[in-house]
Amino acid sequence: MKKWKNPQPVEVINTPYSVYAAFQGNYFFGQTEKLNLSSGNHAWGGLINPIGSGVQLFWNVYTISNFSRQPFTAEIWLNSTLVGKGQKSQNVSPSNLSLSPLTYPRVELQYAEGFSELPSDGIFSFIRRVEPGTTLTRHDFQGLIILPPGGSVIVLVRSPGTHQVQSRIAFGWWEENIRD
Amino acid sequence: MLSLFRKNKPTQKVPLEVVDITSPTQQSILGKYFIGQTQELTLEGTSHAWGGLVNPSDSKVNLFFDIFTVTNFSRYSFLAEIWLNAKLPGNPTISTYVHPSNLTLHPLPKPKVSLQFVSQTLGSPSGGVNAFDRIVVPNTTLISDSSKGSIIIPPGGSFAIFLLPLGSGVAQSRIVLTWWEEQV
Repeated sequence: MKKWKNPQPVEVINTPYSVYAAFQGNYFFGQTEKLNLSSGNHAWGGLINPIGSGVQLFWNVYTISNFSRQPFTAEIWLNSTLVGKGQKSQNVSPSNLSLSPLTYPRVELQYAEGFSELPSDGIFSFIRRVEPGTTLTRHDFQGLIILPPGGSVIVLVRSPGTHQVQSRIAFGWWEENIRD
Repeated sequence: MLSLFRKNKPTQKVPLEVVDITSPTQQSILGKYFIGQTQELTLEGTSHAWGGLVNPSDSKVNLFFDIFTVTNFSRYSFLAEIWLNAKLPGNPTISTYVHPSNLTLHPLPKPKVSLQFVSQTLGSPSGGVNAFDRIVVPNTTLISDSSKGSIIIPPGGSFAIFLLPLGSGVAQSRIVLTWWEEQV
């Protein structure tokens, strides 16, 4: 009976899994260059998990900026054949800058612009309407979409007709070694 | 957070550190989390639309509803009504835009629950509960908070979002729904 006399709660520190990944140096973020859309020419920014990377890509967050006065639609495609010419972004960093040496991602952040075709295969997962002069930052599908080596996720920004539009897309993700 | 970098001696009274994997992430790793969307829906005047998740009577799974988004491609606001276990109007189409969120698994798991939708129907839901409503303003995507597993639909039940115009003007929309499934 004595042990019930003075019950003490157990103290725990509750660390989100993404923060745990950050401590280990496995969390990364980055953004595309400024993307130009005009008269039927679309753009995309995405995360490409190369074949042979040895990691699973946990897509955590994204933001889409609309620098123009026109709303546009962003489509999220998984594992599609990439349209346009993808370029590798240099604006990528680990979130944990206290490690030495700094960790680097296996996954590549790429972007493309100035193409008119749309993806013809893969999974059309979901969409966002992006208001003028805003950055869409709502972090809704956190840590849900998991992509194997050879997989990809792109945020395809569709040109709203004849208007000139500028956009920029940012991503946060973590990587986990594939255990066999 | 400093304590994370400190070697904890057994004699010290320091909190235990636990890593919190959210239930949705855990369900995703297990291959039980799904994401789906409707095709483009049109609504105008007395013509309505809906998209929803239907848990078949023989599915043997509970549907844990997580997140919905409703996109408004138009210049007109419309209303999104959330209905539980209602009888929905029209002849629904089963969406093919459905996938597991974990694409690393072989073979890819398939959901027991089906995502259905109807565009341009004159009817309205009957029976069931209209739990809450949201106004969807022009040129936005309305994003719900994660239900974190608090909305649970048994076999034979449904979760649906019914769209109706607030004024004149044609509006286009798409509904995205996410959920996980657990054996009953």
